[in-house]
Amino acid sequence: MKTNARPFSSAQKVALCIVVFSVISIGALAFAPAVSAQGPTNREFVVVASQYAFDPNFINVNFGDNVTIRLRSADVAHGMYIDGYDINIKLFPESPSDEVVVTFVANRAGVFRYRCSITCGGYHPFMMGKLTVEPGYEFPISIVLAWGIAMGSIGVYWKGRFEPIEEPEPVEKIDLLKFKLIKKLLKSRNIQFTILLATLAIFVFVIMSGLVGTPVGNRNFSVVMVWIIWWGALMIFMVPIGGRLWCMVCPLPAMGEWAQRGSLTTKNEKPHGLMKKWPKKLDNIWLQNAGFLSMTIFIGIMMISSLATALLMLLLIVLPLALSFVFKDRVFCRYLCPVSGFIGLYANAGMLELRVKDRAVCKKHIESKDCIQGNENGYGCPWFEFPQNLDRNAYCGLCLECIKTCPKDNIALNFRLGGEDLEIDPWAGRKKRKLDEAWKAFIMLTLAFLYGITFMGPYSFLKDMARIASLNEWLSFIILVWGMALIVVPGIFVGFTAIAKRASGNKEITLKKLVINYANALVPLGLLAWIAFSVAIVMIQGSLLIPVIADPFGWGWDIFALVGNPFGLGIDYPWQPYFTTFVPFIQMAILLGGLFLAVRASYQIGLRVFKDRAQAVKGSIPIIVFMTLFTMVLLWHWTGG
Amino acid sequence: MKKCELLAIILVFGVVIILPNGVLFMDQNFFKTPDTIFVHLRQYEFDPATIEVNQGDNVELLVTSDDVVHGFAIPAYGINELIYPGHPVWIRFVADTTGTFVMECSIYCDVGHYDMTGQLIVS
Repeated sequence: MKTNARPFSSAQKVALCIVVFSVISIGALAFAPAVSAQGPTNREFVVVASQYAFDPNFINVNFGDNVTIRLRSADVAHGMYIDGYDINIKLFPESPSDEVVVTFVANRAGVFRYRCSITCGGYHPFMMGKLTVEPGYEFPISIVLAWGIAMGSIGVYWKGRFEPIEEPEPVEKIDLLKFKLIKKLLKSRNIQFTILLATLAIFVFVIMSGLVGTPVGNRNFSVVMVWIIWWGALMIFMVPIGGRLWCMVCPLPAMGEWAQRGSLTTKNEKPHGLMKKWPKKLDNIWLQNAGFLSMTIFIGIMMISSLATALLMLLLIVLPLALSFVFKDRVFCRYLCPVSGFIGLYANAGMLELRVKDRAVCKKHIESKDCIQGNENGYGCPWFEFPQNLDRNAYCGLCLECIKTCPKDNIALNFRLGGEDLEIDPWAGRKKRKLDEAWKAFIMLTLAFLYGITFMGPYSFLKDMARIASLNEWLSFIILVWGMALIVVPGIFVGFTAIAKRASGNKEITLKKLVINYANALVPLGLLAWIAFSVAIVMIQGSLLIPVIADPFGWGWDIFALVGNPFGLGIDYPWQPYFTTFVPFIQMAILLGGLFLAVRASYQIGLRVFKDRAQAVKGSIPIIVFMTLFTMVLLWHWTGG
Repeated sequence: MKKCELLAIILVFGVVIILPNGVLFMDQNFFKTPDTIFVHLRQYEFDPATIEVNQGDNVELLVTSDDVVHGFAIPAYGINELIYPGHPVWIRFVADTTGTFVMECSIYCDVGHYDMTGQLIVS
């Protein structure tokens, strides 16, 4: 196409983009509830609970109404807990016609989830509906804020589009190895072994409770520990604060590593096994993507089944053990582990990094490369990284070997604000970013929404698909998850990136390079979307930890009673959601924070790729629009009706 | 071999072998007695379906549900307990009357509820 034949200039395209975006944003406000003209009225709802849905799954009332809910059951005992109102009614039917009634004044506006409060089968934790008390302003306000973040940032960037690009100032970092105690702890093999032993003990407990404990998931240590506590701790604390901190203490590959090294706490010179090299063709994370996506289609079973959880954990211990006899070092972690892929991706935005203090020292030190060859103090990097070249967290497993081996004491473990890994040039250095990482970002972003709406949304047909109620429903779930994660969402993103390429006016940079680079802007967006999801899981289901500590297997133990009930807990250890009034607000803040960081990252990435401010601004706008629309969808799911 | 390496091997052995077996041993000998009868309620059965005790026994039942809420009722002995899934309840009584008594589910638990029964035989 000839350039002068183009109907719009790039600035006009950008303007058009912004206008369309603003219209969509304002259109979203049409969902905003209107203030009702009529005064308080009495409203009565017959809510029929069944496995695993409420009928109706949406209830709409006006502020000030007298609401009566008659809860009936179509099958077994159910309850109804209303978020924000802290109302909890329980129905133990002695005959199918029994009901339980609650009346309350709708004196809080907003959107509240109501949930089943009595274990009614496997999908009990996900059985819910939405109560809308109009007029709730949370959702409209959050939409306006998201729009404001996007437009404000674009405005600021646009204003500075003719300014020269200056070198970014070095970020303040604290080297944790400066502290003698931390350094001593991290250099010690015995301490590292002790931590691994503790996590291994928990995993043995998880596997055992899964195999022989009660089949009721939310009263079984394995399900609660893995899918609520571990997952929550991983996404809310470990990844954002510690990057790959989990990989440092993960017991899953420990058996394999010990077997290969033939040692638990010492440096052994003679390794066991065939010590083959991983095939070059598979030197990417496509297998991790495949493993993760294979897990997603069974996730609806694994999350609720203690037996499936235990079998998954066994597989994740046996597989690295078997691989350790064939391949050298941590090939499982680096190339296969289904969680390692996204931990690595999101660790790029984490606050902990392992780097060399001064690259010049490494370059001058040419007699030996202890960090990759190993020496008497430790092993060569088992993650196949070259510490000297480390500039992002993606594949550094924080195994701490190089801290032990470096003869020049040139390794730093920095605490930082995070995020700059996303902005550094991935096309320099030995390891290039490729489409495998971009797709990892797409998969995780898609699932942050899909899992949210499936497991924490009011739609029972999605839950029936996820729990494999029938073969057809399972196939639909596979098509939905894989189609969305592999094709639809990446397709939309590539479309927006194509617009970005044309808007920027830059012809040298390929679309593929732009997609790979801009996909990194989705890292803060996806990470914070997952944090919002995990906060809801932990706040709503976190109290399940208490009964499974008291009685991990569902065998009638009561460990707290043995020690005289130190926490003043009753025998029942009832399920109790925490802070349900504030959870949507916390999630709103997290999602908007994620959007802000993602917008910033996309502009920084644009600057680095285009090396021109005007092009970077124009190129980033379509990406910002995509990310803002995605955030609005999540805001609608978590805070809107 | 270094001392700490030997200790480490013992610890791993302890975690992988002794810990699970210790848990089973604890459960059998500390949390339960040899007379404890662990009763599982499921849609729509009692497992075991028949409980046999002798007259005068101090019967010690540990009743749990493996799926949904059930009620454990032996009307002849005036027993009726709500049983939450995965949360066992101790039911203790003295079997003072001989005979065969019905155990039934006292909370409606879907279509098979009225067929969900068991037997208590006191001989």
